Amino acid sequence: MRVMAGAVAPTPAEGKVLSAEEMAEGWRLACQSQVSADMSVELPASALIVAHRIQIEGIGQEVTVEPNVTKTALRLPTPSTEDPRDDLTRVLDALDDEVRPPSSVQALRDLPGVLRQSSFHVTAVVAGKTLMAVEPGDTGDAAYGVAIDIGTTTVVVYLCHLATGELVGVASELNPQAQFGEDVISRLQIAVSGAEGLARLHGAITQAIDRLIGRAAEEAGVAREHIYEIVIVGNTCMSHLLLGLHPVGLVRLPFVPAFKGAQTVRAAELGIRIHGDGQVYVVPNIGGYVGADTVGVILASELDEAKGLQVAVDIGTNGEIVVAQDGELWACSTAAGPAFEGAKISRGMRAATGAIDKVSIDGDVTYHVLGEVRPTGICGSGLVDAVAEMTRMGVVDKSGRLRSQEDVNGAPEKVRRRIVQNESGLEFVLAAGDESGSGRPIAITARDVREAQLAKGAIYAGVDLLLRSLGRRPEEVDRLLLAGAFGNYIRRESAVAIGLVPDLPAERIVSIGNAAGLGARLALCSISLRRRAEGIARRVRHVELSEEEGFYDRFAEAMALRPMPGPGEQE
Amino acid sequence: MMAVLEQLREAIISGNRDQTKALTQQALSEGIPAKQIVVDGIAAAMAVVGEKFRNNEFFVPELLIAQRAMKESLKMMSGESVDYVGTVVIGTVKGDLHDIGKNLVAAMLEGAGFKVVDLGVDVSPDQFVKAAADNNANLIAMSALLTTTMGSMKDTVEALGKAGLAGKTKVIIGGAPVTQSYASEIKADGYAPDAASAVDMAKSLLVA
Repeated sequence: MRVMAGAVAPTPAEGKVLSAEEMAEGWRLACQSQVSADMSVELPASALIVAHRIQIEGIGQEVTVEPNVTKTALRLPTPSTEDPRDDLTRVLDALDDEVRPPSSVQALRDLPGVLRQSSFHVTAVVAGKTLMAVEPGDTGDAAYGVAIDIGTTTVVVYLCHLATGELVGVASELNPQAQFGEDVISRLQIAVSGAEGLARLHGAITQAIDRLIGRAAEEAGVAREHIYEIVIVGNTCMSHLLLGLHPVGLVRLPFVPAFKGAQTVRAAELGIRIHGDGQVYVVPNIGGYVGADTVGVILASELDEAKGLQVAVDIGTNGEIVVAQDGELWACSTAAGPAFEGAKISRGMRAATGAIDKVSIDGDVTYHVLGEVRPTGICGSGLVDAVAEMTRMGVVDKSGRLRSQEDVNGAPEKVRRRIVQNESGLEFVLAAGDESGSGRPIAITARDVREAQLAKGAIYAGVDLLLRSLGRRPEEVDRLLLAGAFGNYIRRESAVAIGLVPDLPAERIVSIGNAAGLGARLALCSISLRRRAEGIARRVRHVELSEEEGFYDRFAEAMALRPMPGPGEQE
Repeated sequence: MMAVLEQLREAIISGNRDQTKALTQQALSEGIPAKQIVVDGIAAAMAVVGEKFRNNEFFVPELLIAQRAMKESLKMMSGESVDYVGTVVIGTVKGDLHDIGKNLVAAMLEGAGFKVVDLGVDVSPDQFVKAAADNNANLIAMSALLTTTMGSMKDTVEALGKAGLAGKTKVIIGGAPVTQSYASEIKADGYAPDAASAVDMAKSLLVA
């Protein structure tokens, strides 16, 4: 933030992050500043997240829509001395034989009034095999459901028309739990530190979901009462915090979750406002750190029925990796860290308006900015591009060292001049201060390259090791799927060039976008796909990488910024 | 004779594994004593790596690569007689299996000439104390990534006291949630914020 009025003295920690020049201009770290008197501050544009760009198309998969919740319009005979059946029986008799009475007393309380107010012309709402509600008149096919992907960093809500499976609205925002900690581990630690911590994390996510549903419904002109069901995917930690479960088993070996199978709870119990008896279905987990989101990825990509050797990498704060070999499934998670989501990078930001998402270097640097505005930062795909291009031009060597101007040979003069030395070290300027949206230059620092290296090393080592544990090798992979909001915009040439993914022919690498969210939509719109997701969760074998021999060595080997495996490693 | 050690240092610092192997072999066949290869080759190279790390010239990836090369050289020393500067028992504490930081520290200590007994992850206080006694260790080094597991460090310090080893075996701790004030609170002898400082701390405790 920039202090516009009122003074606040910089702390020693700020001196390490900000230059003397920046501090003189009034830049301070909000987390370090103690407010002792009235002051006015300006937030950098990168802190104001505008429109999120999140991928919603997946693989062009054809799905037969068969929702769990259906509506049937009924014209019932009015009671008479010849037909004195009770109200409930009268409704149930008109429905399938297997439909059971409602589980909520409220539905029964409403029934006599609803029937008579609408002259016995009503619409029955059935969820699974249970009568959920009886609505007056013919409410037609106004039945909606919501699929939700709770990411560690971003929450996305998809509003779907149940009878057709059509997507009618999308809303997303940053996971508000991020204010309590960027990664899963720091949030778990807050949750186990006391009941208050858990309540705050639980409240933050349930309120966000309620808010996002309200926004999506309003934009689509859908009444909240016509939303009958919610299907949720998220990693194991996110599922626990959503349900308000004490994650005590997740913070210590052997990392035991409170539940693994699918859970169904009333939305009202979580404070989420849809139909009063609407349900929340939580997709099952695979293991301690591999959750329902990975089940969603497998379901959406049909890896459970894939032939040959296929790999899916879901790149997020926790990088989840799935290997499928002729229908058999293994999964692991690897602590990639949030570098590819823009965190820990000096000018990093999420894939939102103002983020540089593509970089190329030829005679000089060119870049693309999301939302076609002046750049305010760089997101994950931009970082991968920048590091790949800087390496190709020799600005960064294969070990990841950012060279000084004098050390660079062969790069065009304009490119070389972008290497500048300032008090915190070398950096490579992508956009000078007069080009950027904040007035501050956007540069890749030597440390940023290192952060990208560590993140890509963790992901590559995970892929490599999981394959090797099955006696297979990275170059044998028939198809590699890149999932995640990040995965959709990443240039596969750049991902291969820095060795984030194995060096496979381009046609074998496929970006599939937010596959976890698509998986949730499929489980919402098809009861048989929901059953299939449950089967997937039971079948996937969870591999704990840190227990595997040689992760550390593989991780070290995977540091190099070059296509992997290299020529000497193919034996 | 010295030329080969200088080349070996260069090879380790730049993380060139193949060259490191070849130069170690060359040094041995030139008749340079293993002790001298360790001190003037390996330990000297790792001291440079540590120094560069502290000066922000090197980052974790370079530490990893240099250590990998160094280990190749050390492997070829096994069976040769070397003088250790001290013995360290190291591990990630009970309930925790995050070992990247622990491995970095272990390798830096090894590179600095310590005999390192690595107990791996999920190590209980009793295991630390037993290994310290069995190996006549100068130091126990503990790592934790979770605030929920770092409490185990305190238990180890106490167990060490009960075993009558307090003062004889010193304790150093580190890991993301660990701080100097926590080290003081649990009466650990030292804290180090990174792998390079851990070596300095370990050496200073040997003298103390």
